[in-house]
Amino acid sequence: MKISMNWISDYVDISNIDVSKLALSFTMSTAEIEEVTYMGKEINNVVVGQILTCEEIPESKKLHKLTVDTGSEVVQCMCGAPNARVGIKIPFAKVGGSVIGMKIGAAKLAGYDSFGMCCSGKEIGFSDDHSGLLEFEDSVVVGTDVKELLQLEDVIWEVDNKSITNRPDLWGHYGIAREIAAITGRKLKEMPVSDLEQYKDLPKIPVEIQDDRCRRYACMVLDNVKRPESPYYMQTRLFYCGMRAISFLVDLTNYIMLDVGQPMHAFEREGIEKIVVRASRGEKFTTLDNVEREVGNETLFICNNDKPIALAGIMGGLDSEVTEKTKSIILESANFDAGMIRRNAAKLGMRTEASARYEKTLDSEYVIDALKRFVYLLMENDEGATVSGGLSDTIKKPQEEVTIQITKSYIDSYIGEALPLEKIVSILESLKFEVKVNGEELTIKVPTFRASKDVGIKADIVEEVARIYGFDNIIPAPTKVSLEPLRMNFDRETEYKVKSMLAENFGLSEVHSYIWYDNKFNQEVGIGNLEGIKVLSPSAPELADIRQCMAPTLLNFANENKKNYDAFGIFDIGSVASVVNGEVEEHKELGVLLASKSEGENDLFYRLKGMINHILRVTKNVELTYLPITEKKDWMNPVKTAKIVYNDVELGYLSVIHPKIKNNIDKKLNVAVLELNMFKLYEIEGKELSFGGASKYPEVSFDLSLLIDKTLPYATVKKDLNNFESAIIIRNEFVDLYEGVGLPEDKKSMTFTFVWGAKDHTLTGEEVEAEKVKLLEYLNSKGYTSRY
Amino acid sequence: MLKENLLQMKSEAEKRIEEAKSVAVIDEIRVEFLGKKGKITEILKGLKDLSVEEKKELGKLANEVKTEMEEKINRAIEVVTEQEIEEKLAKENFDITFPGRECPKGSLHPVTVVQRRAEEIFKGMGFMIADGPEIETDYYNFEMLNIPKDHPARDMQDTYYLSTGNVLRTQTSACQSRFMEKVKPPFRMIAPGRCFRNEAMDASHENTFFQLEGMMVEKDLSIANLVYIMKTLLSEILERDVKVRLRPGFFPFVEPGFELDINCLLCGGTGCPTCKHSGWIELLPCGMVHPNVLRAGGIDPEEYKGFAFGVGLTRLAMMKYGIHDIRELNSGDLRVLNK
Repeated sequence: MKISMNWISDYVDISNIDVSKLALSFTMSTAEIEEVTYMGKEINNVVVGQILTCEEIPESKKLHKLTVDTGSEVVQCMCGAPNARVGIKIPFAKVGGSVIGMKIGAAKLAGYDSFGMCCSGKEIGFSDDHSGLLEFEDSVVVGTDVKELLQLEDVIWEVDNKSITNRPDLWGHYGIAREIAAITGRKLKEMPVSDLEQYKDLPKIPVEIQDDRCRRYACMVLDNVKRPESPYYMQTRLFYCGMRAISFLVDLTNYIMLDVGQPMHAFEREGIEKIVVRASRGEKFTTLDNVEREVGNETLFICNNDKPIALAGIMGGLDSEVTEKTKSIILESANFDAGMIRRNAAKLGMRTEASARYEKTLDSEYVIDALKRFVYLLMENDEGATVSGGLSDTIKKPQEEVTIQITKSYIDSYIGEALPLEKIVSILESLKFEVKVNGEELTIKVPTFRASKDVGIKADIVEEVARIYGFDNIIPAPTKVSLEPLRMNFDRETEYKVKSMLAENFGLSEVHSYIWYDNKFNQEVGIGNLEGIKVLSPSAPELADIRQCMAPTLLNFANENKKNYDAFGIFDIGSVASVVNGEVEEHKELGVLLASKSEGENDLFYRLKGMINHILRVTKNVELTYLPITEKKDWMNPVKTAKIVYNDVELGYLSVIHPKIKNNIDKKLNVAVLELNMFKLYEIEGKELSFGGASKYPEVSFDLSLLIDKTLPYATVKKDLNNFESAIIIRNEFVDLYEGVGLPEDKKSMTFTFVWGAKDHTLTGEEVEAEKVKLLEYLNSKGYTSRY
Repeated sequence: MLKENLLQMKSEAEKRIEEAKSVAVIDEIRVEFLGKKGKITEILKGLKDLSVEEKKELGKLANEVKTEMEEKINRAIEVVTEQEIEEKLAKENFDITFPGRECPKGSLHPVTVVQRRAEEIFKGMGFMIADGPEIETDYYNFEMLNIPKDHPARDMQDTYYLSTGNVLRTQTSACQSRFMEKVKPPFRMIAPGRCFRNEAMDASHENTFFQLEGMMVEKDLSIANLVYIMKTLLSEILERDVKVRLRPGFFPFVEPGFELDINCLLCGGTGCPTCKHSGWIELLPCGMVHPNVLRAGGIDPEEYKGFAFGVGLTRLAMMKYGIHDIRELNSGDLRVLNK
């Protein structure tokens, strides 16, 4: 929102204050000033000139040769404006003067001398109109300095709108002036207004509020408004504050909105019998921007009897629009439910200056303040104007009064510093809070313009005092705290440990990804469309499903990185979710992907398996088991896939990707993926490490190869070996696997090392031989052929 | 006779030991004289035929010769071994600059690195580390944070609403209430994590980013304490002494709410283009916890006060590593991430 310092000066004396320093103080105490712009500085030596003669020239169709009276002399000037004609009074920039972006010098145009320039509104920064010369009213005196006449010199603050969303009182200049007065310690002047009591006996427009989302509705009838244009200063201020001057009546409603902060609307008086405020029944409505709109049925209409004439709080209707011919108006000033306005403005895509204010929850007292101010400015600027309909004021929901009890010691302890009581009181009073002091107790009546939204509790009072006192003046102080032992987050420790091992031990790269699937990729690559909890307003249609698995995202990254790398490993711990028994079940899931053009997919699978085994050993000191999966996902190789299990709990899966998907990504790129539910990992009760127990006596090792069927899994063999009961076995270890030359085609050979020993003596040759015999007999009984 | 023989052998052996150039040669000498069938051994064997007197005399001499010879041989082996090592080392050709057997180089995500460091610092100052779901209920993401339905704050943050009625959390502040339900005050906690806002993406805007929520609740806590603690924490995190200042800022879950600025890290506060010549950079929102939020968490605001703050972890990571395009962080592009 833009704030004019000239306008502010109407209400508080800011002379001898550096306005950019004041902007900093305002930022520190109230709301952020994003920019300070000095207006009109470039405009120099521009006076009111009158065109005395205007001749066409043969050399140009556009240019005219003028003589202009500047008050002090008559000069020749070449001008291309279409409205240049004898008699009109215009801004004239003299030689040696300057306008926006241009210094004026003597020039030759089409071979004619030109001493000065006639200006458009845009050229002097008064409007954005560049269609022709700005034409002054006839009453202005030739030679008058235009910068002063139009009040072009001003300083404009750009207030960050976001920083005043909670301050409905700051959406007009008077509210800002009040803050500046409090910050600078200067006096806030009363706003000049008319007394509406004088019109109380006049007839009133009947008003009926049928819906309490209209909290208050007031209106008056004004006649004989003849003035076509607003006073120049008003036009300049409106333009500087981002609006466009249209006509005196319309400008005045806008001016009041920027002044008091209360939106107003003027209806053409003719034809209106009774104002009814009612809920929409879903009828179509043409707003004054000449667009027919489907407004839905959650909004309110202002109606003439039953016929809608305005979309409450957002925009007026075309039919009742004030035109140049309008002489008599109904002036509306009302207060609507903020949420209703906000929802409808958003839904209709019509966030107007009015709706932006209403949605902040305006003080409903503003309704009357605005009417009083309007009538005052109307009478001031249009002598013939009259009031023909008195104030009709209907209150559906009165503005609540807020009183807060607080003690000085509460304020002190909250701020962390003891301020003098007089200081506290004077700050609050400067902000128009009414304070009654009773010893240490303060009874504070909150002004309605603050009570409507942001001040309601003790902490709010603390804020008011502290911010005007200056947060910067508070001396930082360490806390006095009790010493509490820190509770560790062991899950987080585990998460970091896993990440560290993957990145730092195994050389993988951590990636971050989105919580939703990319179904465009999924379809392209053959995974198909994956469903999940729906995002209702996704960034793109294909990003509308919350992921239940990590693999598709990792495959997407693999597809991107294959262009730059022949081998890589990536991982991510992200959230995945699904609905289980009507409840959202969300957990952190580890996804790891290995890809290589040189390493075979079986090797990738086993490398991944080794990694996760190692991670479980390091973090929990437990051993995982791998079992076949019955429900396979689309990206899993149906043969080379296993679920990862510990203690009958399924933790995740390990898989080579399906050949079809592999071919779609890159035929040469082998890929294996792993997923592990981190929450289940956290829940595993880790085993204590066991130290010591080494025997003093030497160990004996014995290698044994088993000739077995190719289809027999390692796990079966290992299980059988582990089940061999022995008093002296320390461990058995897999050494290698051999298939091929020298073996029958359906056979493979697995070699294991057995390590034997005793805690209390060196094994004798007899003991070792007896063990071998026992072991071979056992294996024989299990159907193995041994070779050693 | 035997005596002369002995002495002669001794001098012969000594001469040959002296001349020997390798351990092998010396070993040969040892075998020749001292081995099972060696010359000295033979003499000692011959002693059995002599008289007791002679046995005694010669035996003593023979043993002396044997011991002396053994010592000489051992010493010679030592010397020769050392020489051999020296010679071998002198001939050694070894390139220390040849590449090592390299381990594959992985990488943690920049945000993880920054988050982990922040967590360490906060832990060191007695903060607990909390976690919350990314798919949040409206209750924890809004209601408990004093953001009722229709509050413009819901406007300020464009939220991803889900078919289940949940939202993708718009702020890690959602962890506040979850934490307060579990832990009794006084406490200090941080909750780092992923957040989501439905906004158009460009180099500085992402719909998915990381925040770190911090909260401290004590019986006695003031704005003055907040300034002190934030200054200390930020100096640790940014690894330099920072100046902080508070400005009013509006966030429904704090009262009063602040925007915290720090002195510009580039110019140190004298003014430069980065800080728009103000000397200050807006860093994080913070404030005294709103009584409604404490109450919603089961804490009596008359007894306890708190403050809370939010740090943009993604922004910190970008500042620290000079990342200019925020989208790179979620791109999975190893050219960016594996540095």
